[in-house]
Amino acid sequence: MNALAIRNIQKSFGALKVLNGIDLTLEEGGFLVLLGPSGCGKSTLLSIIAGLEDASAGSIEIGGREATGLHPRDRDIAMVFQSYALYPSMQVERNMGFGLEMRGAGVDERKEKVGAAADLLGIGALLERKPAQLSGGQRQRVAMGRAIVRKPRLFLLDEPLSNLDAKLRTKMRGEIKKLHQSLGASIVYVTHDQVEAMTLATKVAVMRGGTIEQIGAPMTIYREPDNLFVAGFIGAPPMNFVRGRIVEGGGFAPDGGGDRITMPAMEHRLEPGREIVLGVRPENLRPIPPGVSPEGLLRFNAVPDVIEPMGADTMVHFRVGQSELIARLDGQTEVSGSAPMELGCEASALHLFDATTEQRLRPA
Amino acid sequence: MAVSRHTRRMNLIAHGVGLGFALFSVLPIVWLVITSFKTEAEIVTDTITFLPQSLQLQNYRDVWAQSNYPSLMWNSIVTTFYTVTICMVAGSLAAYSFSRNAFPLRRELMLFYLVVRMFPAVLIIIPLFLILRTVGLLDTRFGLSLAYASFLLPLFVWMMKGFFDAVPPDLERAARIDGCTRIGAMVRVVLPLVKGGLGACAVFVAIGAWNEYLFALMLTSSAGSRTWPVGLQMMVGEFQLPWGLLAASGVISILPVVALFAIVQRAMVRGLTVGAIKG
Repeated sequence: MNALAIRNIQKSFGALKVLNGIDLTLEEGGFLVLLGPSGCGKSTLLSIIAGLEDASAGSIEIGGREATGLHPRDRDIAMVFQSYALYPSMQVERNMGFGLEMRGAGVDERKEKVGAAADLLGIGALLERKPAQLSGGQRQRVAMGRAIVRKPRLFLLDEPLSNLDAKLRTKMRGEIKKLHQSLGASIVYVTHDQVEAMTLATKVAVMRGGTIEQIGAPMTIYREPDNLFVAGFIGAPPMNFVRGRIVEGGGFAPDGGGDRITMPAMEHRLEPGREIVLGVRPENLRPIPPGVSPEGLLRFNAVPDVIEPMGADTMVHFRVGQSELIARLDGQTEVSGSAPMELGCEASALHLFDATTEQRLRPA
Repeated sequence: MAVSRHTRRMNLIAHGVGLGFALFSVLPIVWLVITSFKTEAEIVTDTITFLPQSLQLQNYRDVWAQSNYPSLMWNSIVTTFYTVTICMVAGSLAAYSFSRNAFPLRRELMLFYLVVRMFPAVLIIIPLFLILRTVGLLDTRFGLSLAYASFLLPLFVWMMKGFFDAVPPDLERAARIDGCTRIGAMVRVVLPLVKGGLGACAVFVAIGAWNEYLFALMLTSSAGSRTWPVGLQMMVGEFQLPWGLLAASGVISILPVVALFAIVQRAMVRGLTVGAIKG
């Protein structure tokens, strides 16, 4: 049974279409991340799942039960907000137990369940405090605690880590993952941070302009992005793109001049003159020692513009035609000033996209 | 050094002007209080004496025992209570709706509320008189409260909207997921957060209703509904002007206002400026 099934959800605000027919399912115990830039409709979709907003069309099933039109209270969900939305006038204990209180649970039952959730999250000592007396990380934990205390069918998390500093965010990300594994809960998580998506999700839906561009397992999306948008959105630093055309003899001529690039043998059937976009992830580029000419590699002659040593990695910025590229090389690699170097990429790590449709070109 | 001397001089001038205005405002009240403790002979005299020779409470005793002042006070209390209740119930719901719901003509309706206050009160007394007479509420405390609400409610809604706007909507969304209805979320989660503002607005309305004279004069006529400002004016006879009694009743009448104002003045100033400083 699916924890969540969404069919053809549409949402308009007047003439503005925010969601254009969203379909997705989340299996029981799955972790779905809705990923996309600001304004792509991911938070609106979450609000519709929660019942805080009505869809213009479409239907929602939660835990196999029709939930379209149901009051949020009756959907058996819990939500963690970006702002945490802890009730400022209530102590942590009442904040966490408020949902139970509203459902008529007795004092003893509330105390027991809140205590158990607080122990799980390590916030037992904070129960008497008001939200204003808590740090950002503690508030985040309380917000999580408020969600898990009722043991709902579905958890909805709306950018829960975006108000934390980088260090705490990494820590809390790990805790959410642990919590998901220990509770076996079904979670829908909204974020614009692709690192969160990659690390947490069992399934990622990449959204743009109110539609899902691609949905699938994080590594599938990373390895085989369906289009330029998804390819550029997943990965940090983002995938390098070089626009150009196929030339006679299987070479590639980048737009804006520059050296012709020798393409490795590929299964794609690409006729000369066809305009394509080459996609190469920075981490798939590696230096080729001088005098060596390995087969089956896409090769760039790079003159480094900027070199950024980061310890474990060294980022090398260089140009190919009009495009600026980044290579993420091993930190041990010797890269000096503006000395030209040759960088190569395995044919299997190369991504080809149609320059007009921006869709991935698949082998014929 | 020169800058600091200049600043000091500006401070002195600013304090001087402030003190001047304070004296200008406070002196009549001080004079009223002093007069209330004087005998008639000390009040009506050739040579003005500032302080009474002895602190005597005869004026207060006379006001309480020999005039219908207690019933005037009671009418004022009831009328003020009704007005505050109407404003708090209707005004809070209206302000919350203005703050949270996007409905057609919302902005225009809010502006229209202000337009109502732009007309001189005299202009709406006659229509109000006719309406209250038609529905049988003329010369009643409740009718007078409704009349007061007609000009105090818009102000209440404007002020409360500022407080509601300052509460993050996510709190109500969380409350709805926790099981509250929209009204339940407002009552259980939002109102406790704006209780300071709600109190301040209520006091603002209470002061307006408590001190009002013109509507009370026109819309009430019997002792059963007349409020203290009208009653006070009626103590002035054709051949007699009982200064001591008037001063004593004046002091008693402003005491509740002073007390309320002292309690909520900070929250009230915040309520008046909350919209101005937000975002």
